[in-house]
Amino acid sequence: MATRIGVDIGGTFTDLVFYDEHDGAMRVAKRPTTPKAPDVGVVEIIAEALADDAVARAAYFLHGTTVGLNALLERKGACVGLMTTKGFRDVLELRRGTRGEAMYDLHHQPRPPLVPRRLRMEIDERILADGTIEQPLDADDVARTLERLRAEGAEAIAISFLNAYAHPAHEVEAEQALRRLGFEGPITLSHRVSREMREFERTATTVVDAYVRPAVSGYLRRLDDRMRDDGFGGESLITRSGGGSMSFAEAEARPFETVMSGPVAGAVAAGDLARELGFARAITADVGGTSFDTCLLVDGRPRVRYEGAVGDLPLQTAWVDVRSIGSGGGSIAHVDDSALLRVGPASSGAVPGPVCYGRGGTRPTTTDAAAVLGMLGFGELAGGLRLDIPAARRAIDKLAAGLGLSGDEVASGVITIAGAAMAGAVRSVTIEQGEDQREAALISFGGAGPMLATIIASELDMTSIVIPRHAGNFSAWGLLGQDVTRTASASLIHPLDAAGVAAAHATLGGLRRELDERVAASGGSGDRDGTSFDVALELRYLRQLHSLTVPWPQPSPDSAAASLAEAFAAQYETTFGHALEAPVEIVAVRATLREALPEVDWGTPVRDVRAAPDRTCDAYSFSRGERVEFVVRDRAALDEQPTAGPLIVLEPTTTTYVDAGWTVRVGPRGALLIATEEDHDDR
Amino acid sequence: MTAEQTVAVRLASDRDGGADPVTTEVIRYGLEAAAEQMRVSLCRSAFSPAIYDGLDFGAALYDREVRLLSQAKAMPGFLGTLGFCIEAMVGRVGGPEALREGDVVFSTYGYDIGSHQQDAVVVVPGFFEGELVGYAVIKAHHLDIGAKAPYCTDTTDIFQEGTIFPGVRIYSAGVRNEDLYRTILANSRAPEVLAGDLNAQIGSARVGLRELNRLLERFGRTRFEAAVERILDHGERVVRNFLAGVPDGRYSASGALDDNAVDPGVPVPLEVVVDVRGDEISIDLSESADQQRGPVNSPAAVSVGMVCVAVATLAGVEGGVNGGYFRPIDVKTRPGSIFEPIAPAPIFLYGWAGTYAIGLVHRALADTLPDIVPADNGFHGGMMMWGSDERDGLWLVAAMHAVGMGASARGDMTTPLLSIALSGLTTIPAEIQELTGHVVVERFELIPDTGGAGRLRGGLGVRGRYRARDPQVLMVLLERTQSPPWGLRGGGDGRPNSASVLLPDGTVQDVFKVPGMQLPAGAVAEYRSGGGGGFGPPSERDPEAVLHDVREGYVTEEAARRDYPHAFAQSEE
Repeated sequence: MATRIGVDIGGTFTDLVFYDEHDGAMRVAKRPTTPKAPDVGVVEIIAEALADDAVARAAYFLHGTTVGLNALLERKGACVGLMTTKGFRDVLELRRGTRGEAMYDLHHQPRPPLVPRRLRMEIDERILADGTIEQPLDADDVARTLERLRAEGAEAIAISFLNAYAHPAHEVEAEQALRRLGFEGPITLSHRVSREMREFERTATTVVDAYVRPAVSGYLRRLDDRMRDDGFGGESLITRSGGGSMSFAEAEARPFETVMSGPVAGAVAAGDLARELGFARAITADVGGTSFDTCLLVDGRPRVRYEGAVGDLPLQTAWVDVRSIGSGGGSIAHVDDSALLRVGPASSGAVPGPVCYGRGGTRPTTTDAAAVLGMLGFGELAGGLRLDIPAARRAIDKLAAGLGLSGDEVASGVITIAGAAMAGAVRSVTIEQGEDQREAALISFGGAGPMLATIIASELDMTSIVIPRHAGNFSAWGLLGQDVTRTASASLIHPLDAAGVAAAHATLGGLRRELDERVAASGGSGDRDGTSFDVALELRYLRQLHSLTVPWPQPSPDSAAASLAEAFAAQYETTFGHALEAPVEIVAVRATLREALPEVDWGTPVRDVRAAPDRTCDAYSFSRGERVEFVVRDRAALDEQPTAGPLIVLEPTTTTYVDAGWTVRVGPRGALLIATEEDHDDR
Repeated sequence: MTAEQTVAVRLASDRDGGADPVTTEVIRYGLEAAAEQMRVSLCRSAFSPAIYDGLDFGAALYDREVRLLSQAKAMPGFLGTLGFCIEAMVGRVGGPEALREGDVVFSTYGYDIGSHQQDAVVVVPGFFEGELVGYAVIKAHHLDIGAKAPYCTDTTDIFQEGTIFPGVRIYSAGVRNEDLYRTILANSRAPEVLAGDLNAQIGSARVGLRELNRLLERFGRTRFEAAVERILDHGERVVRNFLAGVPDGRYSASGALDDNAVDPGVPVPLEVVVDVRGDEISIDLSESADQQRGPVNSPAAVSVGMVCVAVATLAGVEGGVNGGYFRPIDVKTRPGSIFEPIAPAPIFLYGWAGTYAIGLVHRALADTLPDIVPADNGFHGGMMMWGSDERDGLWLVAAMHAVGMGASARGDMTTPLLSIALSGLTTIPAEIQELTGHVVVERFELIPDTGGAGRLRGGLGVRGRYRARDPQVLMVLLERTQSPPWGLRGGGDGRPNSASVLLPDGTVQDVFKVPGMQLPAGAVAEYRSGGGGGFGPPSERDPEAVLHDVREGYVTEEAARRDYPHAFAQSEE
């Protein structure tokens, strides 16, 4: 146990969760994000929400931020110079010839590369795919190139040589030469970012690292200084795209690992909750203002993948497989030119926001539809904010007039359509992993998740819903339990036989050394209790380039190849529904070093006798197809006894809508367990 | 009854024959999600990288009347051909009345499926409450289906191009025909891969039908069908609205393939006549050349499909394409011509004529739609190198390049892409080519000055140099080497495709279409893909943009001074 502060910065809100080891108390807070100075926002929310001594008492500060991502999306990064192998200057620009989603767009062009062509330089050197040196590195060429890059104003240098994944010697030599020549700016080497083949993807990742480094590094230093000024003496950690957290120092050295971390803490925390509650399969439904994020959890673990993307930039790095679609509480409803009702993808964003927020929005959103239908109760929000329901109704009615429908018909239609889109995203994720969503629990959080949970679950024939405690701030809560994690991997193409296992084990030795060096470099927190080292092999059937990540429980040079092949076949069968009679080969070796933080005692809140008394309101029931009377109850007034819907549950950071036909009770860790009436008895 | 059923019932009333705007939108989502799930399922279980990485397939759901309900985002070149597959293949087994639940029909017959035999098609009829309600169809590129060579460029009849399975039941009422299955596999050089891909195809079709049935169960057949009408009407309206904005008239364009791949140097003329009347369009391909002795013939189904792609890409395809898009499009072809060859004329390289037809439809309309139509692109082409030895067995390296795209009123083009008919395929990384094949990739780079000059500049072509590490075989497949990608409204042409071989003794040889050439160790094959055409007169190009292009090296200073003297006039005064 240790006192800790978690602050998660989202596009719309900054969320705080504080855990006090002293009395086991948890505190939550929410405020609008300040995009211009997010570090100031962090310090301010801490000052507003916590007692003066809280910062000094905290042992950990855990942080989720989109600073790196924003630098990338807004193209506000460093002036990077790129050194490539001779003949490959254009690797960033040539890409793979695809149009991405814009498949039929005659006018499509990818965004210009992060490094303009004049800053992309070729170095005379060549290493072949088997690691042999065909042409030694010409150090004079490096010197001449540095002159030209300096003249062009390069602040940082990315080096990505062909086949460096197989043999990194030339990248290292080039770095040494640059340092000898007095270059003091940051240098990123492709093999330190990724030891995997595919030159465009690896180079793109290398360049992203160099590009976002000043933004990430400057931000983390400013924030750390402010926290230290306020008396913080503990350890500062930031979430990684691949799950877990890393120290601020390591994030400065490997900023590319933070770029896809936005929705990760929520997914990982939902996994812990699913394990605690005994759900072998669970699906997250994280609904914020502009996006819906979903992730399949098998045995409480999200899938980690190794090739991701931000916009049209591929990232060759581990990322937790959370999928996003542009549908959230702020998605705008409109009528298209064929008189069909559409919801999204345009969003009202943080500003002006939904009509009912009264900040100048005029176009009806999903949240407005919910407000009109009474799904948000009387419209009281945290901080004394009250929704302007009549304004929302006027906006919806205007839409209704164009369709010849009533306001309630359109509002319920908007919610139904939003639910259908979200359900479609869930189905894609589950079918891809060979799972049936009907056997899973839906873990719903984010500001608008609990409002839509029963709608999404009905659409998917799911019978079990979990609304975590502090669901509106769940991502920040998730930060508190993130282990310190480091990963490394390397390509290795070899048949899965005794020699292959031995080769993989030799590769593993190198990965372990690399990880230990990184631990040491970040200030030697490596002696923490509960350190674990997990190894996996990327395996595939010979000739089938698609691979699966298969755990290698006790790696040894003498591990039985046959049992690894069996584990692969079993996982293949789960994923694809059939296994094959074909030889298996190794594609890559992956290693993860985890240092667990001290356990948090989450406790279980008891029914609060001071909770506000029940009220009732008239709201739309989707299962009944008409307005009925809903009980409006404080979350603190619920207990372990099932309460039948229709019910609206209020709490400071979110509102839970429990339709007729569902019942709700409080379960372990204070989570609300919602089940269909027929199902509740079985649980 | 689920919550949504109730809401749908309430909303339905009798308006719109039971398909209110909400139900229609939910069903539209459902159909698009179904197509997406077919895609995901196929990609996850296919064996061939061509399918799961290259997306070289088409997957779609059709209704009972063979109207396209939704199609997965995959090969645009297959768009619109899948309906022909269903009609032809179902016809082969006795028509819709002869279908039973659990049947799976399989075809490789190029003239039925509108592709070469490698693009095998599976059609699975869907039943709801015992009645035929629609079809799932998947066309996918297979590694080998028993053609005379793994990739044939010089065939003279269809029998050389792969084994013909002319629409046969591989499953009857859920039971696999084992004799047939073994026959299919026995005709492939890569039977394991074929089996894996074929089973993935069938599994994916079933996933699509399962989702279709889910929608039917939830909404009932009447409401589902009413919603489908609305969805198709919507697609139709998108295209009609576009066409209504095109001035009525007769527009034409012509071009020529370099040759038919077996008679070198004899051009094959192509002619497209576009007739726009009100919100309808008629496209006549019948004036094009007679059918050819070599494999460049385009079966009627693919000719029609490509023309539909040409119109749909101009109209703007948002979200999924459906059958409504094709209603206002009428296509005429002439039996015995390159766009409607008669079996057994060879068709292995069927995609070229159709891809060219897309360009010609765009060219025909370019002058009347100057804001929408881009200049011509670098077409496509590629090389392959293969060999075998004891260590690696048969190895093969494919070198397909992206090409320069044509500039348009909307802007310059720079980044090379694959042509729109191949959109979705991906080029192969040099590191994978070097790992799996016996080549060293010496260069893979943009070629300055290949994009057509203009007020807006065309995209650049790509130079790839591949050095043979040991003796091996080279195959070259280039088209449009003689007719450069056109510019528009005064813009210059792009540089056309070219390739050459540099032998160790220093001799250089230009190559165009080469079925198989022995390369000694150390020989270098170089392919330079074409650039895109420019748009508008070069004299109107912003001098800043010219200097920027020179600074970045997209245009050499020499070429810039020649094409854009105005950009240098001021600074040197």
